[in-house]
Formats: sequence, structure tokens, C-alpha cells
Amino acid sequence: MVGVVVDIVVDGEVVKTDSSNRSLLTKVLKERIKTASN
Amino acid sequence: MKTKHLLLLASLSLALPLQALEQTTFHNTDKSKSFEATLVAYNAKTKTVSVKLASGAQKSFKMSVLAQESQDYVTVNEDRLAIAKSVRLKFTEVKDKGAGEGVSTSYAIEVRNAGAEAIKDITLNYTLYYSQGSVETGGTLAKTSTGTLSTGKIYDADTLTVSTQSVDIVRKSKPASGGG
Repeated sequence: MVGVVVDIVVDGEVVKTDSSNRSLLTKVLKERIKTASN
Repeated sequence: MKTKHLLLLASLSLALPLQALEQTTFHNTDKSKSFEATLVAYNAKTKTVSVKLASGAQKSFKMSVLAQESQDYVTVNEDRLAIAKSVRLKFTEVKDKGAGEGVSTSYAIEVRNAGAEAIKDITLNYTLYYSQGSVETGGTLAKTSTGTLSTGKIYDADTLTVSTQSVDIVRKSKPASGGG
């Protein structure tokens, strides 16, 4: 299975994130939070 | 602490696709009062600002009651906010079984501007997540592939489709060895 996560970027800022797969989106966001908190 | 992180995660996983901006401090004209809120909308015609307070309540008021720096914040983020609210994405997986062992797979991303104003241009940074099978070993390996797409101008109530690059998914596994 292939999934895709897309960041919509305006003027260099991510304004929205969406995905073909809800669970994949949750997983990616979880990883980003983990990275940001380290 | 763990509970706090889980709550934050639950909040972000639902909020991020919908909410473009973070909470900030707004000041009134003489800066005698301030409050924390998230900018959720700005109507340029009526010059009305809508914010969501930390309590979850939504309030609307005239832009003129804000200090200049708060007005600047609204103006700077007006486009981002409008785009975040207007742009809807729809994903369609596209597979192409070629002559070899691989299945070439990509995504067609339908970008719809549901707003009443045209959008000049947005950038889509995408990451494909996939498992690639190996003919040699029979196993699979988790992989990612990233790319950037640009939409150009999207008129109001218009839709356009952009495509990601393709990745090859090898589905055939190594035949079992040995046996009789």
C-alpha cells in the first residue's frame, strides 16, 4: 500500500496538512510532535 | 506527562488539517487589555475579525478595536487563513503494472478551491510512504519518497489535479527454495 502526506505551504509556512490515509496522518503528526519536543 | 502528550497529540491530529494558525496575543488599541486567541477568520469587506478563545468560544469584532501590531498580524495571516480554509485535497491512487516485476504507483491530487476568491499559488510538499518488496530476498522494506508540486493560480470554485512522482512496488516475492 502507498500512502501520501501533503503539506500545503504558503509563503514558506505550512498552513494545512492532509493525507490519503487518516491513520498515516496521525502517525506522521505524532512523529513531528515527538521531534519538536526533543 | 504522558497523558499531556497524548492529549496534545489528539488535539493536533484533529486540528492541524483544519486550523492554520497558532494561538497568539491580541491587544486593544491603547494596549490596556489583551487576550490569547487563535485567528480563525477575517472578513475584509466588513473588516470583522473572528477568533477562537482558549475556552473554545468564538468571538467576532471589528478590526479597528485592535492595536496596530495586532491588525498587522491579522493582515499578514489573512491569505494563509483563507487558503487553509478554502483548499480541499482529494487523493486518488494510480497504479500502472508495467512489463517488469514492479507496479508503478503514484497519487493524483485533486486541489479544489472552495473559497470565493482566487488563490494565486500554493506549494504542495508531499511524502509518499510505501513498502517495497524485493524479488531477491522476498521481504519488504519501508521507504519514503518526497517531492514538491506547485499549483499556479486556482480560480474560485475551480479544481485542478497534480500528480506525484511514481514509486515502484515490487510485489513478486522470492519463490520458496528447496523442497522436493
